[in-house]
Amino acid sequence: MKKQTILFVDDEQPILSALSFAFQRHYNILTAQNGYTAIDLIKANDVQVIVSDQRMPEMLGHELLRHVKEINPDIIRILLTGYSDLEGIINSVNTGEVFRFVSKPWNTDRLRETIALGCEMNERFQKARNAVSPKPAPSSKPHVLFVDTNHLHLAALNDLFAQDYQVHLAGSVSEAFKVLTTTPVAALITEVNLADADGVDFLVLLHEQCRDVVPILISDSQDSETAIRLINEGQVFRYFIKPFQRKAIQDSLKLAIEKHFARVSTEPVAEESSLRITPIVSPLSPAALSANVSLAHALAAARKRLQMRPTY
Amino acid sequence: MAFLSTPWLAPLKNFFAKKSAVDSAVTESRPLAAASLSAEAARPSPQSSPQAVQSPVVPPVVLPSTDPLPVPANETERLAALESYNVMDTLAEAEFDALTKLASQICGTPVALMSLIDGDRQWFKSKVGTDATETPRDISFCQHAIMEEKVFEIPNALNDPRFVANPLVTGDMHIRFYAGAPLTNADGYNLGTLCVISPEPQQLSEMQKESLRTLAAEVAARLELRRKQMELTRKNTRLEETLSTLTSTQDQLVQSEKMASLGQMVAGLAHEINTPLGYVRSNVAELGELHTEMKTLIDSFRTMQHLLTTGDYDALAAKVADNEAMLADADAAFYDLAQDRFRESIDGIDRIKDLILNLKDFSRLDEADMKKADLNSGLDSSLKIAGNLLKHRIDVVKYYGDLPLVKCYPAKLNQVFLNLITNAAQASDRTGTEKAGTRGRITIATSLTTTTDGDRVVIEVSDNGHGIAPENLKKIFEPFFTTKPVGKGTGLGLSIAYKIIAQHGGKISVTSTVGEGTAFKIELPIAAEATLQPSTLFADEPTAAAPEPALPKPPFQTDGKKKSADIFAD
Repeated sequence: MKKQTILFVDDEQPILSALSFAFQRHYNILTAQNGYTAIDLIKANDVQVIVSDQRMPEMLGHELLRHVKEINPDIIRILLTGYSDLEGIINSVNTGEVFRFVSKPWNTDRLRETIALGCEMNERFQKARNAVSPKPAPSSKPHVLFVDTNHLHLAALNDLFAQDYQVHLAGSVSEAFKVLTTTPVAALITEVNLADADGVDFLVLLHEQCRDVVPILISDSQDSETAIRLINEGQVFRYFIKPFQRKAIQDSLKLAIEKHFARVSTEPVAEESSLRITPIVSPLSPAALSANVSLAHALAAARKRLQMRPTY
Repeated sequence: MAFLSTPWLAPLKNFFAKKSAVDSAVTESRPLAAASLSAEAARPSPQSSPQAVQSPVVPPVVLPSTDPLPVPANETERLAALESYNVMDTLAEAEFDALTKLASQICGTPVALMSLIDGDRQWFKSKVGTDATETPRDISFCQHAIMEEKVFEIPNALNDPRFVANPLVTGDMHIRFYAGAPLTNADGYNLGTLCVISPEPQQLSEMQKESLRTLAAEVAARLELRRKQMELTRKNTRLEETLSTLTSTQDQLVQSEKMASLGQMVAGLAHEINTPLGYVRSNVAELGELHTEMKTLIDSFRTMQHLLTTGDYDALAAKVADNEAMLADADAAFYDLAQDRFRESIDGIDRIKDLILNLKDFSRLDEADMKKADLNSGLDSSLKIAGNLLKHRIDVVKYYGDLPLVKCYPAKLNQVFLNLITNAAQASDRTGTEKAGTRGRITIATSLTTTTDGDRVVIEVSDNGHGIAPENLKKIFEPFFTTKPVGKGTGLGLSIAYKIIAQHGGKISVTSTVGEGTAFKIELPIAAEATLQPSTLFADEPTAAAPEPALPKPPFQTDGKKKSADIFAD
């Protein structure tokens, strides 16, 4: 079988050496010490996964990932960073659509699993692109869901989007799941601070149970740990710090809906399908969720499953 | 004669209540009532004049007046003016009592009052010869007195229809003589009166009237003074509150500046440490796996050796075949790489060790006291701490002179150095500017100069950054002055630097040209002992011992009452 190709980018040679040393027996390894060389390598080679440092001279990691996405969106983008401010993290998700955010020092086993998953994702993306599967054009206005405890914010979002979408509003996580069980929601915008559950847990459960729903997060929290969890575990599509530009969120919601229809048109395979993850013992049915009895339990269980997963 | 006022007032209040009812009835049908009363005026009426009945001396009998009570034209404004003095129902004050007493002495009356008239009563701020504290307004003499500018005098109340039936006249108070001068304030409102009262009929001389007026003017002036004083006190209290809020806000900001620079430092250090930590950890994990493979090979060779010595050649041949497969798998070049990974791992660990040592050098946590220190090495450790900011972006040029050891608080000076280096790095970061592509440069020069004050060390930190506009340059050492966006800087860094240098008996100054760069210059005396006792650091008056700085003092220094120790406590 043909070895897959991984590109490592870091301005520190010893980092590149260590990564090559750890991965060269299983992958073709390319390395670059700056963004420009990395872009040249991407253009000249069939790369499946790129792992880049954030802080590099001339071109920052998230800028490089943005270019990579433009050149070939199938390349799975992982950011490997020694320290990142919230701004860098948000940039990496919003412009680089980073797949995972990994902190130095990394755990080699988890990085290996993450890269393996990345390769698999890449393969699936390529297949989906090659398969002739016309996107089912939405016959009516797509459904969108907004979740926030602040009803003024909900009303403002409703005003902004009601013309173009079928808007559903929820003041809590349980209300949100009631909508999600009855409506084919394409994308949702949620505040991270929610009353009845932790916003990160909510997105984690959402990602697990309603994989097609593309989540956009709004927050005034300045906590980079939370942001990293939201990216890695909640697969947040966009991350907004309040207050934000109307145009920015309109554009993002539009992209999120495009992404949603791209997702439903590809094979619905669970992201971690090939991994030795503990099977969900009793997957909570949407009906059970809507009963609201076990929401807290479901959220806790999802969190626990994530802690046990081998990838970042 | 404790408070007679209450029993004395009770009947008055009853009277007042009844009288109001009568009054309103009268007011409603006044023309008729007035007409009928004037018709009756010719003959005595026992009902309407009990005084006349009691008195054996009948003529001339004066009938009570039914004229409406007098009310000043500007009553609403007058009441508002009175309210503004905040004087009603306050305690007696000696200065008013003295004037009241003087009034009674000058006019030769047993009673004198300083009376203030509000909506429904007259209240006595000061009184001589009576224990009364107030009476209803509608029976007061003073309500008449405030209608006029001159002294209002009633030589004998029994002869005046307005007062003949007044309970103050007919009752225990037994007023016969009354004279009152209005208390006119600066805006012309008559707030009340200074009045003199006697149970015997009397008449004031012109001089006495003049004196009473003068005294009334004095009372009014003192009321004014009293109000101004109260206002001042109130303003002062407010200022004190504001000052204390500001002081505590400033303390919080100093604290948050400390936390912000700490956070920045930690962030930079975390990045610097996590990088070598990243590859060291990865290498060690990978080398561990290699070690397991090698252990398997060694075990296998041991078995082969055993088989060779025991002569079990068939088993040996099988084992050799196994081993060959295993060795074919193991890339020799890969094993060679392992050597490099070991070497790099040790380098990485040394990098981390150096960083930790630098951190220790920088903070000098174990040195709370003054110490002789090499400032060049202090600058170097500050540069290393700031390394993350400088890396890839800015060239650092050093011109270090030979410096003697300087007695100082090394950690505090390092804090200043880091602040200057950080500012310079931020000012000369070219990313995203028109000069992007060219490199920022920080020049650090140290030298020794001899001045009349003795040898001084001069440290200059300059950059080729965007420079500082002259109007901002003036304020650069002022606390809270910042040109950074809200939330990006507290504006305290340089004011703290200024303070630290002043504490060392040194000077800090700045020159800048917009578009060309900025240069900070620090001068420090080598022998700082004379100006810097260790106690100054933590005591209440941190700047007291420092010599007059070359630059204007930052205008907003705390008076040092507290917290100078807080600012600098490491």
